[in-house]
Amino acid sequence: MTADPFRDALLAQIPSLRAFAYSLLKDWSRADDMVQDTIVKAWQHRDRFEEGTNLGAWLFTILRNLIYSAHRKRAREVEDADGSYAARLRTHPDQLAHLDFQDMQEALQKIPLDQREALLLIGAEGLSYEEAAEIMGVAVGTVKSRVNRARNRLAQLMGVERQADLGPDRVILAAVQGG
Amino acid sequence: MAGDEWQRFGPGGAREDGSGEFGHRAFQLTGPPHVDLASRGLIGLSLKSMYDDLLNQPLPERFRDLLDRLEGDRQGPGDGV
Repeated sequence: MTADPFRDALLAQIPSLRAFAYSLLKDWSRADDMVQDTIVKAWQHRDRFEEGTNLGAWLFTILRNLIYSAHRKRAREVEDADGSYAARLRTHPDQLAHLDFQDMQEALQKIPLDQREALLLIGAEGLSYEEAAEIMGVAVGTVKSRVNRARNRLAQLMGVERQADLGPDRVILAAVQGG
Repeated sequence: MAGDEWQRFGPGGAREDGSGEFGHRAFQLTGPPHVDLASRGLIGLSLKSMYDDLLNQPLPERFRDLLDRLEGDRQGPGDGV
Protein backbone atom coordinates (compact mmCIF):
# COMPACT_ATOMS: atom_id res chain seq x y z
CA MET A 1 0.00 0.00 0.00
CA THR A 2 1.31 3.44 -0.80
CA ALA A 3 0.19 6.23 1.46
CA ASP A 4 3.10 8.58 0.91
CA PRO A 5 1.82 11.90 -0.42
CA PHE A 6 5.33 12.93 -1.44
CA ARG A 7 5.68 9.86 -3.62
CA ASP A 8 2.31 10.48 -5.25
CA ALA A 9 3.14 14.13 -5.84
CA LEU A 10 6.46 13.16 -7.42
CA LEU A 11 4.78 10.62 -9.64
CA ALA A 12 2.26 13.19 -10.79
CA GLN A 13 5.06 15.55 -11.84
CA ILE A 14 6.97 13.04 -13.95
CA PRO A 15 5.10 13.65 -17.22
CA SER A 16 5.88 17.37 -16.99
CA LEU A 17 9.51 16.73 -16.13
CA ARG A 18 9.86 14.32 -19.04
CA ALA A 19 8.19 16.71 -21.49
CA PHE A 20 10.46 19.53 -20.40
CA ALA A 21 13.63 17.44 -20.49
CA TYR A 22 12.75 15.99 -23.86
CA SER A 23 12.07 19.42 -25.32
CA LEU A 24 15.49 20.57 -24.16
CA LEU A 25 17.42 17.45 -25.12
CA LYS A 26 15.32 15.90 -27.89
CA ASP A 27 16.39 12.48 -26.77
CA TRP A 28 14.10 10.31 -24.65
CA SER A 29 16.87 8.21 -23.24
CA ARG A 30 18.87 11.20 -22.01
CA ALA A 31 15.70 12.97 -20.90
CA ASP A 32 14.60 10.00 -18.80
CA ASP A 33 18.05 9.68 -17.25
CA MET A 34 17.87 13.31 -16.20
CA VAL A 35 14.36 12.87 -14.82
CA GLN A 36 15.44 9.79 -12.91
CA ASP A 37 18.37 11.68 -11.36
CA THR A 38 15.97 14.48 -10.49
CA ILE A 39 13.65 12.12 -8.67
CA VAL A 40 16.48 10.51 -6.75
CA LYS A 41 17.85 13.88 -5.76
CA ALA A 42 14.45 15.19 -4.75
CA TRP A 43 13.88 12.05 -2.70
CA GLN A 44 17.21 12.43 -0.92
CA HIS A 45 16.42 16.02 -0.05
CA ARG A 46 12.74 15.65 0.61
CA ASP A 47 13.19 17.15 4.06
CA ARG A 48 14.28 20.36 2.34
CA PHE A 49 11.02 20.61 0.53
CA GLU A 50 8.53 22.68 2.41
CA GLU A 51 5.03 21.39 2.24
CA GLY A 52 2.57 23.77 0.71
CA THR A 53 5.17 25.24 -1.61
CA ASN A 54 5.41 24.53 -5.30
CA LEU A 55 6.78 21.02 -5.78
CA GLY A 56 6.77 21.39 -9.56
CA ALA A 57 8.95 24.50 -9.46
CA TRP A 58 11.36 22.82 -7.04
CA LEU A 59 11.64 19.75 -9.27
CA PHE A 60 12.13 21.86 -12.39
CA THR A 61 14.94 23.69 -10.64
CA ILE A 62 16.70 20.43 -9.85
CA LEU A 63 16.09 19.07 -13.34
CA ARG A 64 17.35 22.08 -15.26
CA ASN A 65 20.42 22.34 -13.06
CA LEU A 66 21.20 18.69 -13.69
CA ILE A 67 20.68 19.12 -17.41
CA TYR A 68 22.90 22.17 -17.51
CA SER A 69 25.71 20.73 -15.46
CA ALA A 70 25.72 17.29 -17.08
CA HIS A 71 25.14 18.35 -20.64
CA ARG A 72 26.68 21.75 -21.04
CA LYS A 73 28.92 20.52 -23.79
CA ARG A 74 26.27 18.47 -25.49
CA ALA A 75 23.84 21.36 -25.43
CA ARG A 76 26.28 23.27 -27.61
CA GLU A 77 26.43 20.37 -30.01
CA VAL A 78 22.66 20.40 -30.34
CA GLU A 79 22.76 23.98 -31.48
CA ASP A 80 25.68 23.32 -33.81
CA ALA A 81 23.67 20.60 -35.48
CA ASP A 82 21.20 23.20 -36.71
CA GLY A 83 22.74 23.33 -40.13
CA SER A 84 20.96 20.15 -41.07
CA TYR A 85 17.58 21.68 -40.31
CA ALA A 86 16.77 22.80 -43.84
CA ALA A 87 17.87 19.47 -45.21
CA ARG A 88 15.47 17.69 -42.92
CA LEU A 89 12.42 19.69 -43.98
CA ARG A 90 9.89 17.52 -45.70
CA THR A 91 9.60 18.30 -49.36
CA HIS A 92 5.96 17.43 -49.94
CA PRO A 93 3.55 20.23 -49.08
CA ASP A 94 1.00 17.92 -47.52
CA GLN A 95 0.13 20.02 -44.53
CA LEU A 96 -1.10 23.38 -45.58
CA ALA A 97 -0.38 25.92 -42.85
CA HIS A 98 -0.34 23.12 -40.36
CA LEU A 99 2.36 23.31 -37.75
CA ASP A 100 2.71 19.76 -36.65
CA PHE A 101 4.56 18.19 -33.79
CA GLN A 102 7.72 17.49 -35.72
CA ASP A 103 7.88 21.00 -37.18
CA MET A 104 7.57 22.51 -33.73
CA GLN A 105 10.17 20.20 -32.25
CA GLU A 106 12.60 20.95 -35.07
CA ALA A 107 12.05 24.68 -34.73
CA LEU A 108 12.41 24.53 -30.95
CA GLN A 109 15.80 22.90 -31.27
CA LYS A 110 17.00 25.91 -33.28
CA ILE A 111 16.39 28.25 -30.39
CA PRO A 112 19.25 28.80 -27.94
CA LEU A 113 18.87 26.68 -24.83
CA ASP A 114 18.29 29.55 -22.40
CA GLN A 115 15.52 30.97 -24.57
CA ARG A 116 14.03 27.55 -25.20
CA GLU A 117 13.71 26.73 -21.54
CA ALA A 118 12.15 30.11 -20.81
CA LEU A 119 9.58 29.61 -23.54
CA LEU A 120 8.80 26.07 -22.39
CA LEU A 121 8.31 27.06 -18.76
CA ILE A 122 6.08 30.00 -19.63
CA GLY A 123 4.40 29.03 -22.87
CA ALA A 124 4.09 25.28 -22.43
CA GLU A 125 4.20 24.58 -18.70
CA GLY A 126 2.19 27.70 -17.94
CA LEU A 127 4.36 28.82 -15.03
CA SER A 128 4.44 32.44 -13.97
CA TYR A 129 7.38 34.67 -14.89
CA GLU A 130 8.28 34.77 -11.22
CA GLU A 131 8.36 30.97 -10.95
CA ALA A 132 10.39 30.66 -14.12
CA ALA A 133 12.82 33.30 -12.89
CA GLU A 134 13.36 31.36 -9.70
CA ILE A 135 13.88 28.10 -11.56
CA MET A 136 16.32 29.65 -14.00
CA GLY A 137 18.06 31.72 -11.37
CA VAL A 138 17.68 34.99 -13.26
CA ALA A 139 15.66 38.19 -13.00
CA VAL A 140 12.03 38.30 -14.11
CA GLY A 141 12.96 40.80 -16.82
CA THR A 142 15.49 38.38 -18.20
CA VAL A 143 12.86 35.67 -18.45
CA LYS A 144 10.52 38.02 -20.28
CA SER A 145 13.21 39.04 -22.70
CA ARG A 146 14.19 35.41 -23.37
CA VAL A 147 10.58 34.39 -23.95
CA ASN A 148 10.12 37.27 -26.36
CA ARG A 149 13.23 36.38 -28.28
CA ALA A 150 12.20 32.74 -28.38
CA ARG A 151 8.74 33.64 -29.68
CA ASN A 152 10.18 35.89 -32.34
CA ARG A 153 12.63 33.28 -33.48
CA LEU A 154 9.98 30.58 -33.46
CA ALA A 155 7.61 32.75 -35.43
CA GLN A 156 10.36 33.38 -37.93
CA LEU A 157 11.13 29.68 -38.24
CA MET A 158 7.52 28.65 -38.43
CA GLY A 159 6.74 31.54 -40.76
CA VAL A 160 9.25 30.14 -43.20
CA GLU A 161 7.63 26.76 -42.76
CA ARG A 162 4.22 28.14 -43.54
CA GLN A 163 5.27 30.10 -46.56
CA ALA A 164 7.13 27.12 -47.85
CA ASP A 165 4.05 25.00 -47.30
CA LEU A 166 2.14 27.27 -49.59
CA GLY A 167 4.86 27.72 -52.14
CA PRO A 168 6.28 25.34 -54.69
CA ASP A 169 9.54 24.53 -53.06
CA ARG A 170 9.97 24.88 -49.34
CA VAL A 171 13.47 23.50 -49.35
CA ILE A 172 14.76 26.27 -51.59
CA LEU A 173 13.01 28.87 -49.48
CA ALA A 174 14.44 27.41 -46.34
CA ALA A 175 17.86 27.33 -47.89
CA VAL A 176 17.59 30.99 -48.86
CA GLN A 177 16.49 31.84 -45.36
CA GLY A 178 19.25 29.78 -43.83
CA GLY A 179 21.93 31.29 -46.02
CA MET B 1 -0.52 44.57 -47.76
CA ALA B 2 2.79 43.88 -46.21
CA GLY B 3 3.61 47.53 -45.68
CA ASP B 4 0.61 48.13 -43.46
CA GLU B 5 1.63 45.48 -41.06
CA TRP B 6 5.16 46.77 -40.91
CA GLN B 7 3.88 50.25 -40.15
CA ARG B 8 1.44 49.10 -37.58
CA PHE B 9 4.14 47.49 -35.53
CA GLY B 10 6.73 50.06 -36.35
CA PRO B 11 10.33 49.51 -37.31
CA GLY B 12 11.07 48.17 -33.85
CA GLY B 13 7.94 46.13 -33.61
CA ALA B 14 9.51 42.80 -34.16
CA ARG B 15 12.50 43.43 -31.97
CA GLU B 16 11.02 43.96 -28.61
CA ASP B 17 14.23 43.32 -26.79
CA GLY B 18 16.71 44.82 -29.15
CA SER B 19 17.65 41.53 -30.75
CA GLY B 20 17.21 43.25 -34.08
CA GLU B 21 18.28 40.52 -36.40
CA PHE B 22 14.84 39.02 -36.56
CA GLY B 23 13.05 42.13 -37.77
CA HIS B 24 15.76 42.98 -40.18
CA ARG B 25 16.07 39.53 -41.64
CA ALA B 26 12.41 38.78 -41.88
CA PHE B 27 11.75 42.12 -43.49
CA GLN B 28 14.48 41.68 -45.96
CA LEU B 29 13.63 38.17 -47.00
CA THR B 30 9.94 37.72 -46.63
CA GLY B 31 8.41 41.15 -46.29
CA PRO B 32 6.55 41.89 -43.08
CA PRO B 33 7.74 40.69 -39.71
CA HIS B 34 6.04 37.47 -38.78
CA VAL B 35 5.38 38.20 -35.17
CA ASP B 36 1.95 39.68 -35.52
CA LEU B 37 -0.75 38.67 -33.09
CA ALA B 38 -2.06 35.94 -35.36
CA SER B 39 1.21 34.12 -35.72
CA ARG B 40 1.89 34.58 -32.03
CA GLY B 41 -1.38 32.85 -31.30
CA LEU B 42 -0.64 30.11 -33.78
CA ILE B 43 2.83 29.56 -32.36
CA GLY B 44 1.44 29.45 -28.86
CA LEU B 45 -1.22 26.90 -29.76
CA SER B 46 1.22 24.82 -31.70
CA LEU B 47 3.68 24.83 -28.83
CA LYS B 48 0.97 23.81 -26.36
CA SER B 49 -0.30 21.05 -28.60
CA MET B 50 3.21 19.71 -29.11
CA TYR B 51 3.76 19.80 -25.36
CA ASP B 52 0.45 18.07 -24.68
CA ASP B 53 1.56 15.23 -26.91
CA LEU B 54 4.67 14.92 -24.79
CA LEU B 55 2.71 15.07 -21.54
CA ASN B 56 0.47 12.26 -22.73
CA GLN B 57 3.28 9.87 -23.50
CA PRO B 58 2.90 6.64 -21.55
CA LEU B 59 5.02 6.61 -18.42
CA PRO B 60 7.93 4.18 -18.68
CA GLU B 61 7.85 1.43 -16.09
CA ARG B 62 11.25 2.47 -14.75
CA PHE B 63 9.78 5.44 -12.90
CA ARG B 64 7.29 3.46 -10.84
CA ASP B 65 10.03 0.94 -10.16
CA LEU B 66 12.33 3.71 -9.06
CA LEU B 67 9.78 5.17 -6.67
CA ASP B 68 9.06 1.69 -5.30
CA ARG B 69 12.75 1.20 -4.71
CA LEU B 70 13.18 4.59 -3.03
CA GLU B 71 10.18 3.97 -0.87
CA GLY B 72 11.44 0.51 0.05
CA ASP B 73 14.82 1.94 1.06
CA ARG B 74 13.11 4.50 3.20
CA GLN B 75 10.93 1.99 4.99
CA GLY B 76 13.98 -0.08 5.68
CA PRO B 77 15.37 -3.13 3.96
CA GLY B 78 13.78 -6.53 4.08
CA ASP B 79 10.43 -5.69 2.50
CA GLY B 80 11.37 -7.44 -0.69
CA VAL B 81 9.63 -7.17 -4.08
